[in-house]
Amino acid sequence: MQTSMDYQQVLKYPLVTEAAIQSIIKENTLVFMVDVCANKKDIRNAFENMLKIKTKKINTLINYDGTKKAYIQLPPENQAATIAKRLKILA
Amino acid sequence: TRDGAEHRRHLVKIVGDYSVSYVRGIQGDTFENGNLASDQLQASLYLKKYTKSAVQRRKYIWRVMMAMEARIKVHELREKSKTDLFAQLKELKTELALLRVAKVTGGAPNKLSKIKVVRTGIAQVLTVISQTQKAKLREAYKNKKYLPLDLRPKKTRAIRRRLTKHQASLKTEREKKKEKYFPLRKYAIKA
Repeated sequence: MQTSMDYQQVLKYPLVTEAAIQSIIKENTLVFMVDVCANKKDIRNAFENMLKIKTKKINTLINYDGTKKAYIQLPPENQAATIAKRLKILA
Repeated sequence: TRDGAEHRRHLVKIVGDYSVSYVRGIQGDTFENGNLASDQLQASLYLKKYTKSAVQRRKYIWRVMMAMEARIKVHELREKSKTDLFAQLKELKTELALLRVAKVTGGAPNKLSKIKVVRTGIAQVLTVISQTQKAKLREAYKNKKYLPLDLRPKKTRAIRRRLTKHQASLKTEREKKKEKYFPLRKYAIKA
């Protein structure tokens, strides 16, 4: 019944706003813009399949213009800062 | 690194021609099982610049780079097998994801303009996949009585419900005889 999304379509791009970078440094979370039809399970699958990174917790919200933002918290053994450097989010 | 980029552009010119076979060749262990000695050296030289030690990571980067450098030609796509096409689709999508990250983090203009190229590439691969699938299905159902609905002619709803040409032209025996023995005559009036 609950069809899951094709996991390559789920994650769109990471956010690099000031607040997003703060959350990388302080909360060990990455912030991604995500497809609106994606639920947290889809986001977790997509993240772990495409980027091979374990996730701890995912919070989502829908912006006023209909796009979805996902705060993806990583477990302490994965450092969000190094992963952000690998993905070229941080310079 | 800056000079790494220069190196890659040079590398591309040599390896670009063999990109298709390289992508296939790299599916296995490492690029060391390449075809040509000169290309091999260049590849290993370049990839040593990467600090990531995992071979898998190198393989991933290399494969994405290869997808980046060869321009997609559709007639070449049509010769590929289904698994190859899906593999290429996956590479293109990962490349698109990288480009989208670059767009957000203020990427170079050459990367930003590449987004369009990659998106059309993805569209081309998907088109080829669906076209060949449709063609094969049509062949499979060629001389069967009942076709699946989406392989039947679409036209319009009203047209599909009309009598076929053959059905409309059917005549009774009686009518046929009448036409045969009493055809419509043409007369001319002498001036």
